Amino acid sequence: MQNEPDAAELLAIAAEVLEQEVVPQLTGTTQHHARVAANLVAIIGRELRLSGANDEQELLSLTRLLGSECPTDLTQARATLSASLRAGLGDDPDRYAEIWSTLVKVVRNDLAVSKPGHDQWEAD
Amino acid sequence: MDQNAKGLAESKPQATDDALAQLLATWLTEVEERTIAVDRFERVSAGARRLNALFDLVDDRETHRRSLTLNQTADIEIITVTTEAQVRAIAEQAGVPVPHIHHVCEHAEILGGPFFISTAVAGLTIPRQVVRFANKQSLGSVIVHQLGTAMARLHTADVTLVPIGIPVPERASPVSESLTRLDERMALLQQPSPTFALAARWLERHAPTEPERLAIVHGDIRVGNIIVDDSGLAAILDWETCHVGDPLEDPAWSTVRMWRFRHDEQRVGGLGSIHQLRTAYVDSGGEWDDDRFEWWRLLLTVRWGISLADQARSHLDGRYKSIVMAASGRRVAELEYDALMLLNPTRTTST
Repeated sequence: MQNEPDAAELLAIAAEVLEQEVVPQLTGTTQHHARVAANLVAIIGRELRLSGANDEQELLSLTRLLGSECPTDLTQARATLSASLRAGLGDDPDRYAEIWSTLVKVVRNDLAVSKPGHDQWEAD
Repeated sequence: MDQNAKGLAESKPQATDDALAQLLATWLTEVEERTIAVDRFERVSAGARRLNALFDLVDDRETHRRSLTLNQTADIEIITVTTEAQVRAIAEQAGVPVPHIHHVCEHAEILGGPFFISTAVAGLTIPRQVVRFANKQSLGSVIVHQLGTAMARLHTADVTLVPIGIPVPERASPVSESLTRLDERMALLQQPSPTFALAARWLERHAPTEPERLAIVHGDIRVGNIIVDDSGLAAILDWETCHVGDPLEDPAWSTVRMWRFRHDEQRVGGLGSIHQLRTAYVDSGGEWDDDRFEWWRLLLTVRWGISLADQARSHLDGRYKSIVMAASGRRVAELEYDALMLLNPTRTTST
């Protein structure tokens, strides 16, 4: 077994060093790439903490929408729901509201990993 | 036109700046039949598809700052440099601020790819700098007004003048054809998106009537593709996505949230309001329809999300390996969220 810090903690400090110490030393394309790299390291750190629970919750939410026909594999469940939605599963206004709220919840969870804060803006 | 067609080809080793400057000087001397030197050659950006550089063109009397746009190879051009120069000339004639093109060369063997040379317009292009500068100088609404005017001028130009090589909708129905293309691309997504599927259904059920008049559409007018100086909009750049289509596509694209760079309240590029854009557009002869405008906002948001997913795919399958392309895959959720906000059942259209 590995000694502490755990993976998420190591990634968090690696992201911090990249962002605060490395990026300011660079210019142009290299700086841009380093900034993207720092951001990716931070994403992976959050993913390690959150994505297990997020994926479980997403599958539960999709199962509620699709019922017993929902595949147990998340990608397949998303494919099934996508096909149903494209064919009109959400045409009824009440159903639409339910589906919309579910998808907002799922996407908010995804954003908690990939871009925290993006969902603070709710207008448009 | 697919936004993501940009930047999908394999990167190639590039000639050094000194070598490029030397080749350029030799070519200019030959075509202008007088001695020309190239000085202060400076690369501005180099993507997979295009290299942009600035340089001084020096003859025995004067020095002019010029801009070089070099397509890395001819086979990945969306439109040829000649076609792009022709359409930019139409725009310039119509009163759209465009850097004037002085030379076009389709021969790949001179610099390693087709290129054109235009006037270097001074000003800012980097989005965050543009937004910061505009807000500090209270120029935001001025720029939005100028954008609306420029779009209207482009869209009222005679569409029959459009050069061969510019994409034209097959059945003159850009609304339905764009939705068909969207469905085709969505079907190829590795990770299916229920949000985008919900949006596609909405777009189908709420499809507006096709525009009465098609126009020359730039296809990528947004902060990031404009040059801004003390008097506001100095030039509109990057005409490779130009096509014939629904004119309202241009104003709609300029309001997509990703181009606001965190200044979300200012829906046009973080600079000003949709109301300001519409007023300027209509005052200069553009025809506005709220339903079609809103429809395009959603379609273009979804399409950009799919393009980001495609960028990640092009990294993974080796067409274009790049950390930026790879990272695009993790930006898809942002576009899903933005699409959902446009799809909010309790939403009232805001400007």
